[in-house]
Amino acid sequence: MEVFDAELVQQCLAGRLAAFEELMSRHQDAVFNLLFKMTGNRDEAADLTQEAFIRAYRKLGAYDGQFSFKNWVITIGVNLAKNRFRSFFRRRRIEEEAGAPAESATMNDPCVEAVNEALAQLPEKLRVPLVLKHMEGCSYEEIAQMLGIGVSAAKMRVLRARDEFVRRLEP
Amino acid sequence: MNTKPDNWFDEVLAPARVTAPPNLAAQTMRRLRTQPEHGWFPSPRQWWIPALTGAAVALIAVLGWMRWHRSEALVNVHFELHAPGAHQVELVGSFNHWWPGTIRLTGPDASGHWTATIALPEGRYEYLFLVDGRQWVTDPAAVVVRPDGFGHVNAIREVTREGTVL
Repeated sequence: MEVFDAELVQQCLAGRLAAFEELMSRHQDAVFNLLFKMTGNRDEAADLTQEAFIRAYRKLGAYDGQFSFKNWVITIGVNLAKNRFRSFFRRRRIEEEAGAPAESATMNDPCVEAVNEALAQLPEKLRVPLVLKHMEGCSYEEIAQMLGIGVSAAKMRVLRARDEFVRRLEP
Repeated sequence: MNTKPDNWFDEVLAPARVTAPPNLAAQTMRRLRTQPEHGWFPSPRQWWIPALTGAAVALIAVLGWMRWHRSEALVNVHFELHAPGAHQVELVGSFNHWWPGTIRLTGPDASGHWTATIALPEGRYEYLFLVDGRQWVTDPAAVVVRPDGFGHVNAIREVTREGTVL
């Protein structure tokens, strides 16, 4: 019988660390995938994912059960990534590393490579909603909540992201 | 505007989804078990924040001390008066608040000169010699002088770190 996230959160709050490991196992791929799409760097994405879950654990008492745990950690991760990129030197280093050969195993597939390239060319403002919508299956309401924007703005961004993505994929 | 259906994007993007490194959860849990919360202190990966702050504070302290030290540096200033017949010569000026009896020149030497060397901070000073406790004498070697409004002419000495300018 599947245990719901909310129940695992309650177990964590009661001091059962293994429950948090279960939560992380469930959602780490979603967080990592988005952060990888934001940074283009596996190490940076792994580091941010780890940091996001650690922050989530330490702030678990402030977690609002109305919000899905996965979306909550994603929000923390997105904010961490944005804050980290505010540092000019770090952004520059990441950009330099991004110029290096791609690390992802999926890059061996030319179709996947083209998709990744088209995604990478999108501005972050459009890339993140597109990934949330079509890779993580989030609703517009959830995207709006995670990015701190209105629902109509979330829809607009996804629509614009789709147009830009198709334009870049099929020149 | 593209005409692709929603599921087209799901299908195209799905293969580009990446998964987290297999040991990520284990590493994170290890960190959670071993690493205490930092409270107000930055995490170890942000070690440079306190280091940089400390260095900046030390630099400001050193610069402040150097500036203070420079402004407080004393300069030896030599005064001399040729008064062969005098019994006593004093130096009175703004550096001793015009109080007679605080700085006495030594002499006379064989050539009739009275001398004194005093340490003064940088600044502009007015002074007179007081000979035998009653006669005010303007330094004949002074380059700049100024009437004091009471019938005397004060000599002026400008003291800088490099020495006496005037």
